Amino acid sequence: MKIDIKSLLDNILTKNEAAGYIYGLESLNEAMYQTNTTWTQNLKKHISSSNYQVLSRYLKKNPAISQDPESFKAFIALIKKEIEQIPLVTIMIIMDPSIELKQKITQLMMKMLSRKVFIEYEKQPSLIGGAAIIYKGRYFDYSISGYLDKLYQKYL
Amino acid sequence: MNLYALSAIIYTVVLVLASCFLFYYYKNLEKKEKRLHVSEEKVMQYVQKKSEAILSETLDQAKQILKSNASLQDDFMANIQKQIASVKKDQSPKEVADQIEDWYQKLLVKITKEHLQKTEAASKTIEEIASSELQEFKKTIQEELSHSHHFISQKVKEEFSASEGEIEEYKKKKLEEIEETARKIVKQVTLYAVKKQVREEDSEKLILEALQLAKKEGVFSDL
Repeated sequence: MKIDIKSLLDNILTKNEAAGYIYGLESLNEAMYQTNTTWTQNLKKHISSSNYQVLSRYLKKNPAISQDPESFKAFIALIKKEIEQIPLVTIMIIMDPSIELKQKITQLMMKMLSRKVFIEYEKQPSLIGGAAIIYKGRYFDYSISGYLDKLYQKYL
Repeated sequence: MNLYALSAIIYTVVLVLASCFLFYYYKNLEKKEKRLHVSEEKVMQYVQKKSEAILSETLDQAKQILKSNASLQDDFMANIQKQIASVKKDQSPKEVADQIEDWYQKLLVKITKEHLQKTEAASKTIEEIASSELQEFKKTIQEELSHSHHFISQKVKEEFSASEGEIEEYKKKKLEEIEETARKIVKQVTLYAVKKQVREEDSEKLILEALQLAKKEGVFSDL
């Protein structure tokens, strides 16, 4: 079974969303043992609307996954593994980001890095402008206040 | 005034009084003699007795006055005795008085001379001692002053150096404080000014530029 599961995670932008998605899949997996509900009903119940269409389409193309609970469990394990490999980048900015801004940032990161990253946002008004980044436990300051600090250290 | 001089003065006064008394008494006797036709011999005897009595009394008084000065007293006593002994029966009271006065004046001159000599010697010694002590005192004072001057100047120098160091330290500290305050003010003013200038659309642009810069500087190099 050749499965390209990366496309399933296109609409999942954060670690929390990824955790929710996994939880939904595991609930769906448990529901497969019940006889009083249909597969489609369970799918709608446990998977969020933003991911439902993509997963539904994907499972239709790969029917073996949803044939039995064990195969679906193996499918979940693959998704978990894929999610674990996606790096996390925390971006600190002066305001709560709008959806448009989040999309712009995601697109930019995808374009720059040519791969998916989970992005988390933290509001930090003292930065004045720009952004600070936490990646792999390290802090990178590209904010205006950071820039001013460097200027102060150099000239004052 | 010492006892020696005091006794001399007192004795002089007593003798002068005694002489005056004898003289006056003799004169009266002469008048009485003429008047009463008393014999000269009797008068002389009387006068002599009276003189002896007066001299004896005076001697007693002098003894008491000069009791504290034994050697002088002895000399004086001996001389007095000699003078009394030398008085002749045929001497007139005036002659006796003159003789005693003469003796006493000589004695007084002698005593005064001795006393002056002693006083002069003592004054000289005192002057020398005073001069020597004064010189010593001046020398000590000069040495003390010199030492004090040196000590004070040294102390002043030390205190001045210490104060100078403290002042420098204080100046340095104050300048650092001023610089730090100035830095804070500049920073706050700058932050305030920049904040005012950054618009929302600028903020989005700045965020995207920051991410691009991070990529450019290799923050995500391992991806």
